[in-house]
Amino acid sequence: MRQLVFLGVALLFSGPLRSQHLPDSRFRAGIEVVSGISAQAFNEGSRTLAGCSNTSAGAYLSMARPLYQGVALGFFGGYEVQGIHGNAVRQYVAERYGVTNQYLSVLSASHYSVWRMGAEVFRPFPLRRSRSLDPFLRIGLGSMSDFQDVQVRIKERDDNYFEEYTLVIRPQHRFNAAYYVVGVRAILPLSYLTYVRLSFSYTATNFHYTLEEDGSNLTNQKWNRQEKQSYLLGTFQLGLGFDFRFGRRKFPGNR
Amino acid sequence: MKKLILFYLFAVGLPASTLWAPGCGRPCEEQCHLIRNLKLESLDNSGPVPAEMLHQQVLAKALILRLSVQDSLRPELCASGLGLFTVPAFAARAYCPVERTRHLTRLWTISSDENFDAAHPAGSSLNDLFYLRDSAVSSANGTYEFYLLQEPAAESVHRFQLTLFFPGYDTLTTITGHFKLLKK
Repeated sequence: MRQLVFLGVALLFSGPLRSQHLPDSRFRAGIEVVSGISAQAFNEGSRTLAGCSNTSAGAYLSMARPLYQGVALGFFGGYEVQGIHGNAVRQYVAERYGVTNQYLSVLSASHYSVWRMGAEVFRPFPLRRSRSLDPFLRIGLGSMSDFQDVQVRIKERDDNYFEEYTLVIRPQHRFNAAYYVVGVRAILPLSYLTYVRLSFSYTATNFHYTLEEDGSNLTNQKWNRQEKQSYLLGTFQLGLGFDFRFGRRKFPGNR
Repeated sequence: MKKLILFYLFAVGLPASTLWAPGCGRPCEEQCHLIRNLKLESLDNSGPVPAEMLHQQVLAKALILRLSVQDSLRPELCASGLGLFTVPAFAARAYCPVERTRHLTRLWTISSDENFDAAHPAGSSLNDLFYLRDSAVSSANGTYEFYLLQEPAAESVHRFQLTLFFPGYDTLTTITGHFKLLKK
C-alpha cells in the first residue's frame, strides 16, 4: 500500500504529461457517491471490533480551486456507512473469549457510520476532448458513530453455566478517526459547466476508541472492563459523481 | 368558614391521606395479585437453549426448574384482606411491581423426595444448590427459572417439590414428575 501512496504523490507533483494543454483553472464543486469493499474483507478475521467491516457506501461534497500549474487545493466533507461483517464479528468474539466448544450467539448491528471532512489536493492531467485524469490525495478527520452494542452469549455444553457480554464502542474524542485517501479520478465533460467524475481510491482510516465490556454470568456476578483499541481500516472505493465548474476557462488563444 | 374547612378536609385531605396509609395504600404494596395457577416444568439445558427433557433423564448441572405463575391483579384483595383463605388453592402476594423476583427469592423452598448428597437428605431444603436468576423479563412474564448448580452424590431418580410461602396469606406447593439426575 505504501507503494500506491508513493505513486499517487509522485504523479501529483510530477510535471504535466501533456504540457500543450492549459490546465482548467476554474473553481470547481463536486458531488459524488462512493461504494467500496474493505481490504480486510479478504482476510479471515479482525483483531478489533471496528475492523469487522467489509463494505462501505457514502456521499461526498467537495470544493477546490486550482492554484499553481493546475495543482488544486480543496475541502471536502461526507458521510459514509460501513457495513459490519457478521461472521467477522462472531470470529472476533470467539477469539476474544477463547470460545472453542461452547455455544456462542452474537447479535450485532449491520452497520456504523463515519462522518468525514478534510483537505484535498489534486493535479489534473489533461487528455483529449476536455477529458482529464486527476490523481488526488485527501487527508482528514472523521467521526465514527452509531456503532450499536454487540450482545454476546456464551453457554457451556451440558451445563447451565453461561456468560453474557455487552460490547460498547465509546469514541474517545469527537473526531476519533484520522485517515488519508489516495486515488485517481477520470473527468469526462458533459457540458461547458458540468463534468462526470469516475474515481477509484484507497482509504486508510485509523479509528481510536474505548471498548467497554459489561459482563455477567449465571449467578448474576457482574463486571466491567475497558480497553483502548485502535485499528487501521483499509477500503477500496469506486465513486461516481458530477463536477461543476464556475468562471471562464482559459484557452491558449485567450491567455 | 366551617363549610370551607369541611370541604377542604373532604376534597383534599382524604385523598391525600391514602398516600400515607399503611398496607395497600403505600405505592410499593398496592398491587395485590391473586395467584390462579402454578406450573413447575423440568427442562434440559444441555443444549444452546432449554428444551423438553427426553427419556426422563437429564445431566444434573443442566437441569432447570421453570416455574410459571398465572396471576391477576386484584387490588381489592389488599383493601379487604377477605376471601383469601376460603379457597385453599389461591393465595395473594403483595409486592413492588419492579421487585417481584426479590420478593419471590425470599419465599421459595425446593426439596426432593430422594437424597441428593450427604448434606441434603430427602425432604431437606436444596435452596443452596439452586440459583434463581433475577430477570426483569422473566418477572414480567410470571416465569422464574431455578438453575441447579451442583451434581448429586449418585445418579438417582428425583421428584422435586417447590413451595412458595406468602406470609400472612397462604402456602402453595407444586411438584415435578419423576426423572433421573445424571452425572457428567
